[in-house]
Amino acid sequence: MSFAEALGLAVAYLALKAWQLHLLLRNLGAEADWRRLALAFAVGELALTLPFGLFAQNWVLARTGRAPFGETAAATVVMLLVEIVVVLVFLAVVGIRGWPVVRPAAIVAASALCVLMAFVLHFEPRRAGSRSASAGRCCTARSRRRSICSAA
Amino acid sequence: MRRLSHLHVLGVNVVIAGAYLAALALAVMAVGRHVGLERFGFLMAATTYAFALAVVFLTGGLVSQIGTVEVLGMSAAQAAFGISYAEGLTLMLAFRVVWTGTMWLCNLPIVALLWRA
Repeated sequence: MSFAEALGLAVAYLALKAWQLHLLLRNLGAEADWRRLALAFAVGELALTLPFGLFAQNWVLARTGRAPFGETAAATVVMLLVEIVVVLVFLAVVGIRGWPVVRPAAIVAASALCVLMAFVLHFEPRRAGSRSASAGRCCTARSRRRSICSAA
Repeated sequence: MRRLSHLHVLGVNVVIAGAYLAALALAVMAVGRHVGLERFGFLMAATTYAFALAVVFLTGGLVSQIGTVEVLGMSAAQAAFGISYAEGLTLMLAFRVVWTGTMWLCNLPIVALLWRA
């Protein structure tokens, strides 16, 4: 493998992953400018081999801007879950000849992960702030119908 | 999190993940051919590395990838394609060196340039 080949594939790999992170952050409304994104992504990739090193990019994003760690970590979790599902689906299709158990195990694991992903993506934790916010929304909605918020 | 649950968002991410994992498999294949596995194709490379990645991912990042990926890849290559443990370990270690080197080469200058800014 020539140096140019390795570098070309690495650049393609990194560019695609960075683009994925950018798209996910944009969907979360936590879009970072290219400098912050590049720095966070580069630190994350360097720390990738460490346990929980994947979340280094979220730490950098939180330190360099106003994006809360928990919010950008959602993007990282989705990236990871999608990557695992893609790998498991590939193994479920291709299998490993000497290990026939891999294919059904991959199908079970991929299905379980899809269920987990559906749960994680639709889970909305109750927070004190959101409770008052939702109470406000509720009050506003009720006021339209029953006018019970007029005293408040 | 709900904002990420739309099908088109997940669909785009599946396509991107597939593309960058294909680039990774191409790199494994290229390293395999370079270390003397002449008939080491894309499917063989993808299967070998996918198994190692799947196990490491499913442990939730609790164990370090270093060492685990190599042993798992070596075992998968032996079970799936009859590649000897020695050749499999050579492949995985060579890939680790090449890939880690290129990752550092690409990312370290970015960190060095942007850290202070």
